[in-house]
Amino acid sequence: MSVRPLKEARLAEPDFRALFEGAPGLYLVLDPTLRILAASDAYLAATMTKREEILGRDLFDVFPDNPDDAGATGVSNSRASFARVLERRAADTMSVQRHDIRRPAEEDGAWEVRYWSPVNSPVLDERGHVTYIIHRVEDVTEFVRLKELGSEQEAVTTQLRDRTAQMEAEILSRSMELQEANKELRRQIAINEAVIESTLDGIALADPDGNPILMNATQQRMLSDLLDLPPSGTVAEYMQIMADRVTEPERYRRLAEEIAQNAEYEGVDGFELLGGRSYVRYTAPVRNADGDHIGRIFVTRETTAERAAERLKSELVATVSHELRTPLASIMGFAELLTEREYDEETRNRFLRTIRGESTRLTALVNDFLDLQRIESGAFTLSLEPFDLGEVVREVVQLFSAQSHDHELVVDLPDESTRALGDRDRIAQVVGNLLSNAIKYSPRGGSVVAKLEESGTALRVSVTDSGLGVPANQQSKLFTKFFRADSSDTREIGGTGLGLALCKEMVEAHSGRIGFTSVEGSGSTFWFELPVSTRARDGEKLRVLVVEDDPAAAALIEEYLAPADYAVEVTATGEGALLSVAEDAPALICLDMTLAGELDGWAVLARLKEDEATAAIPVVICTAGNGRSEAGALGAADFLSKPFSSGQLRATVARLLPDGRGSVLVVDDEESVRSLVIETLSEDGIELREAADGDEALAKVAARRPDAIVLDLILPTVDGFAVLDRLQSDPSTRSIPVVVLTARRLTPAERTTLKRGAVALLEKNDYSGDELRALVARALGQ
Amino acid sequence: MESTVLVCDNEEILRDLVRASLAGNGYRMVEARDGDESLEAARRLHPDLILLDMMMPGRTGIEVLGELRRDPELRAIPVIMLTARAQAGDREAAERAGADRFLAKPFSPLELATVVQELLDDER
Repeated sequence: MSVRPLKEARLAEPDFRALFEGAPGLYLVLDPTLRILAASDAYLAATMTKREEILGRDLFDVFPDNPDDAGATGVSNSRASFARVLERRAADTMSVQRHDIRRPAEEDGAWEVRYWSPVNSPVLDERGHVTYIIHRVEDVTEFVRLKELGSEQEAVTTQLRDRTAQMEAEILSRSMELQEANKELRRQIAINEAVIESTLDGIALADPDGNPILMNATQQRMLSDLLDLPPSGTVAEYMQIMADRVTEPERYRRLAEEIAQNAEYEGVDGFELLGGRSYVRYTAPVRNADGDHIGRIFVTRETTAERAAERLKSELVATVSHELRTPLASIMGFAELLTEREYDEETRNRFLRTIRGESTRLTALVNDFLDLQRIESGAFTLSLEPFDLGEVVREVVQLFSAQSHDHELVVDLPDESTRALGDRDRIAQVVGNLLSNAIKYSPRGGSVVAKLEESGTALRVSVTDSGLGVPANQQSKLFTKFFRADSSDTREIGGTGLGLALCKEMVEAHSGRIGFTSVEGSGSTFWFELPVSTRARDGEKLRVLVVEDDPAAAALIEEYLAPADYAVEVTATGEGALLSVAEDAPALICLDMTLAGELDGWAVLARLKEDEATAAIPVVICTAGNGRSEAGALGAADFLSKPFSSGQLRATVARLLPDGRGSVLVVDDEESVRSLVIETLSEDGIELREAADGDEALAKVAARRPDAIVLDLILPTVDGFAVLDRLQSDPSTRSIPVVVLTARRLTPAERTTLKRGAVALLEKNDYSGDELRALVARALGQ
Repeated sequence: MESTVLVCDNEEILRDLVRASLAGNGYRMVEARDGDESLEAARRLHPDLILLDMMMPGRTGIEVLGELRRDPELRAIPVIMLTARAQAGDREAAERAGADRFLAKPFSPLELATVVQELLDDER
């Protein structure tokens, strides 16, 4: 802590006004509206004014242009200069000005020619606003006049004339130089500030006593947000606190000591915080142009992500080595024993079986690993063709039934056609992996159900077991390479740890989704969805329910919709419509307002929207009557007035029945914000999920990949930046578009970080439903 | 007197291999499947030698070894560290933790048998 002398502070405060007024120069103090607040005695004398006459008055009211001089520019030049001061908040040096003044009325009130060299400087408050302007002038009248008179008055000596001219020239050129230099300096300062503020490195400059002189935004964030340190205090204080928070406090203290003792120390060092973040820091003495030591600079860069990537890579190499060497050890070991020692036939066969089993495991591992590598490097092609997914599921289940006698394998297929577009062999591999896991992780037997069903516009295959389940704390890592669920029960279960990672890659290569739900101790359901291709769609047309009492009108709507390949069902009454909807929800309803039965269209619409199960079905009102706005208020998706064209109807239906709805994960710890976002997006046919903190968000992303994420930055447990980091570091989540919604003011460095993560940004202060909808629609590629 | 050898590895096949490698030498063989079991067995049985896999679930081999070397009752037991990771630095880590020998998988069963016998002979 630097101790400041207290003695000075106890001295009586000087009378600043008296000091100012007595200053040996021509000074005025103005407020930003150019009212005179104070004047020095010298100024009053030079302008032949009295203090009480000018205080509180407008400068140009006191000193107007000389009305006899038609070319007077004093007032306008000065005004321009003051305007520059107010705008740039920097001093402005004017060239020599002629600004005549008037002698006092009690003398003769006549105008006197005067030349001035003025400088106007602002006084800024803490926020950088101009509070006062100091107007300093030099009376150069004598020199200018001497020069002007020089040629006429022979009395003036050559020497004096020369000197006069020289002085004037000097004053003029000096003021011009100053003006130029000021401008250049301002430009340079602006550039330097912009560079320093926008860099992702923390930059701090301390004076020779260690007091901070300059800190850029990144450095301030490092100190306050990350390290929880106040951005004040000396370097020594800061390093003392830091020493207790790093992994190698001794080394850190030695360095702090070196910096404190040796003003010449220059070097680079790395340190890691106990929390795991790591940094590299460069420090060096700073000198001014004269070579004087003026302080020390620290440039700090966070290297956490790079270190984590390195660690991950070497961990992966170690894991691959371990996974390959373990079966190799058995193969080579038992082979050596067989060749070097004598065994009876039974033992020989046992060893040979082990060698064969381990060879198979090694082969599977190498195949899986190479498959994964190919997918990840992009050197993997799918041969897409329409195929029957139900048939694949049945075949794979049959294959496993033959191998496993302890488990009952059940196939549950829908009646409709289950044609999908994809690489049949790869999908069979995925189904096989899921089934194999279900069997392996149900060591006590039981049933395993492989089910195929329609799910919106996708086909969904799920494999459900009643086995060990996955412990909750391991669920988020399940699709990670080489990760194997670990507990005392699962220890003996073999596997490469690559199966699920491979499944995920393959399903995603098909633009599909994969996920699971699991409860430790009671089993798991692993599922994947493949989008149904339009080519392979024949068996599962979207159903449109037409509620229309006029058979001719109903037939017309049916005809209009026929080319669009929907399964159209017609009912004449409201009761029939509600019954049909309750039985099997259609994808869309065309509703007439006048109907045959008790219920009219209004009542049907109200009932549909009241019931949670049917509220989401889009309803298009097709009527000859009025009521567009009432229908909208009741929740109708669109309103078509009869007669309408086939094109109108088809366009409306197609708009309301998009091919694939997006799924959005909303992450915010504030329940109210989540509901607001969900309410905003819910009209757009988007599937919405919620998470209240970073951990939950990552777990939900791992369970099923959303198509977009709306993310708050300040979250309990793992914060938004960390969530983004984790999403970025995983190739399978890297491409999920993220809309960041934050109430916090972001530093330029944070904005840059966010931009690198390919995210859209919406600040809660600027929040508007339309804006959010637009950003999410863009994120979903719509 | 019959020597007790504790074999700690989470892979059953590897434990089989070690058992087959040391068979016929008249040792009493005891097995452990993870770090905690290894420590528990070591404390209970005071074996004459421990074969320790480096990468086990729960406590790693290095951690188990650290515990053993801190325990005055157990610190003298010779330990052979086995690992399939075989990364640069693993041998050093094993030696720093106090392993007497270090064998990378795949290892030669005959060499393992020789090393075990040497360490047991040194003990006597």
